[in-house]
Amino acid sequence: MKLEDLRKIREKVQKEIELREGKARVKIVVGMGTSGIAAGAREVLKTFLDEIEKRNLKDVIVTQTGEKGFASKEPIVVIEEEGKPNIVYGNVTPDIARRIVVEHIVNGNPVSDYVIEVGGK
Amino acid sequence: MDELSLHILDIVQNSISAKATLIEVKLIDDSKNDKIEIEIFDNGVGMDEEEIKKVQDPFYTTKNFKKVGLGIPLLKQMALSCNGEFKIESKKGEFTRVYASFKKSHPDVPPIGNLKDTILTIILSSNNFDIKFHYRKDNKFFELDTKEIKNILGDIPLNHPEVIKFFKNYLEENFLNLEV
Repeated sequence: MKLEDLRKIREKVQKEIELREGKARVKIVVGMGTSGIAAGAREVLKTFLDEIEKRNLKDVIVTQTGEKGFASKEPIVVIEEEGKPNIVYGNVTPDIARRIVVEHIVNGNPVSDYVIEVGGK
Repeated sequence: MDELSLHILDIVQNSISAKATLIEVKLIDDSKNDKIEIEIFDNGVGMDEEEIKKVQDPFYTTKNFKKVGLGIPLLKQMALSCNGEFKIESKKGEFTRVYASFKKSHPDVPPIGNLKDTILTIILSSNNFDIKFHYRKDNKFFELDTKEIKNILGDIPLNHPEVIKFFKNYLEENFLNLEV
């Protein structure tokens, strides 16, 4: 596998993006400050990537951000969905990340036990 | 933090917070000289001498200097307790360079850990800055420059699921080549 292979991906993806005007339905943001990293944020982020790939969810993107100011509840994950308030999850483990993908992102029911804020940024 | 890769991820987050447009990460694992070296350079906002002192002090950083967490004192303490060195150089408005080395055979040196996942995590957010990785393990090395990647991808974002899928495989293959 070479970097040049990215050219094929570019062509393929460009068509898809044109079809749905380049908008992701859901954005998953993982807090990646020092306390988040120490609490396992990198593994949580990797789990989201793996689940999205496994389920072939094309309209979901994963990204990361710095400290969110909830050090005691790290890892923190924010789900931003168009037309809905943001949902902030705390103490997220890889298992909970998998549940968030299935229950919240696919089926539309937030995993209420781990929600620490609704509407936050 | 029990992996050097997590320390790297953390220091890079500082560079991102410092609004760097270029970040260079160097990791050298050198058995012959019994040394592991980490160097992270960025062209972000930089620090004056007072701030350089503060970021190295675990008791100042968390309260008075919110932009940077405990990460730098943690890395410094780790390097010094493993017969290594720690240096931080910076110039306000210009750059910051963090350097840490470890005596490889020291029993307290954490494993390098999952460098692939650290690189993948950083790539995800690198739409607004460029990052160059250089990882050398004895005489084998791995290099990646997001500038080159962006030239190929054009306006496709680096965190597009297809692109991420590519990188997972790409990193996996390249890191396999570094083994043995």
